[in-house]
Amino acid sequence: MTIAKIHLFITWFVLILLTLVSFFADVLIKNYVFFVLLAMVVVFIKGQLIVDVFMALKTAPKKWRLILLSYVMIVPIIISLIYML
Amino acid sequence: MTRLVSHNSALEQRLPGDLAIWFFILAELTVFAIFFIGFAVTEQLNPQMFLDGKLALHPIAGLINTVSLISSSLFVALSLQYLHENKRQKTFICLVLAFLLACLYVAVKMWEYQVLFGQGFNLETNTFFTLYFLITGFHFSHLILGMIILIFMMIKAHKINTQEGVSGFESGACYWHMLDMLWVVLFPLIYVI
Repeated sequence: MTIAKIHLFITWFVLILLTLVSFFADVLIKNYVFFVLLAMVVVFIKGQLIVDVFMALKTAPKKWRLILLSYVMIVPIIISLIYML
Repeated sequence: MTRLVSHNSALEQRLPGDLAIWFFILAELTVFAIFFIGFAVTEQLNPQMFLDGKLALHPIAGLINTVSLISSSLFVALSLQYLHENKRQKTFICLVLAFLLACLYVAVKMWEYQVLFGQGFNLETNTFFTLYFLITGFHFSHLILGMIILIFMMIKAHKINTQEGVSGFESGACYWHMLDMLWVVLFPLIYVI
């Protein structure tokens, strides 16, 4: 198996792990605002992995990578701010 | 991946797929961002309604759908790797696996809708369910389109022999990953938080 494919499998595993972390985190985290922040941080990390690894934008022209990464950063930030109000 | 070699560097950066698909992806991401933000704002204005609505949902179904979509994306990404290596049979097999995982998503989503309709919830129940069915239904319709694209990719897997063909394949793959990316935001917003 090539390094690229191993990288894909590792990314998949991390995405699944992060999904489970955010899904079950409410059992451990009782502070709602902190839980929302954690969920949105997980959204950003997962989005970044999908953009860079699955979409293979890590080696794409920087502006396109930045546009997609901005999306997975800005949308969770806005959602977090709304829930913190 | 076939890479262009410039006279300045060993590897020239290249946007996978056709430029048009990226503008389409950006447009879709923008529409969904409006949906997501609208959902969050409306929840803050109607906290009890949204709390009651979320309690009626099936988070485990959402979790299964998340795992199936992420796994499907893995196989789509793998199929592209194999295409670049000219291993057409493995390309095809990965696409079939991706499609089957998408079928799992469809089955779970249809079950979820059926249960909610059976309990009397629909688009007109209240604002929460209007937004829930609109957002998830919109995503679902995009996923069905994505599955049709996967079928085309399966048909073309053994026949692609031009850079344009590879670029088209990459476009289909990027569209599928966009669906995954949208679900990554949608799932915690509607089911988890």
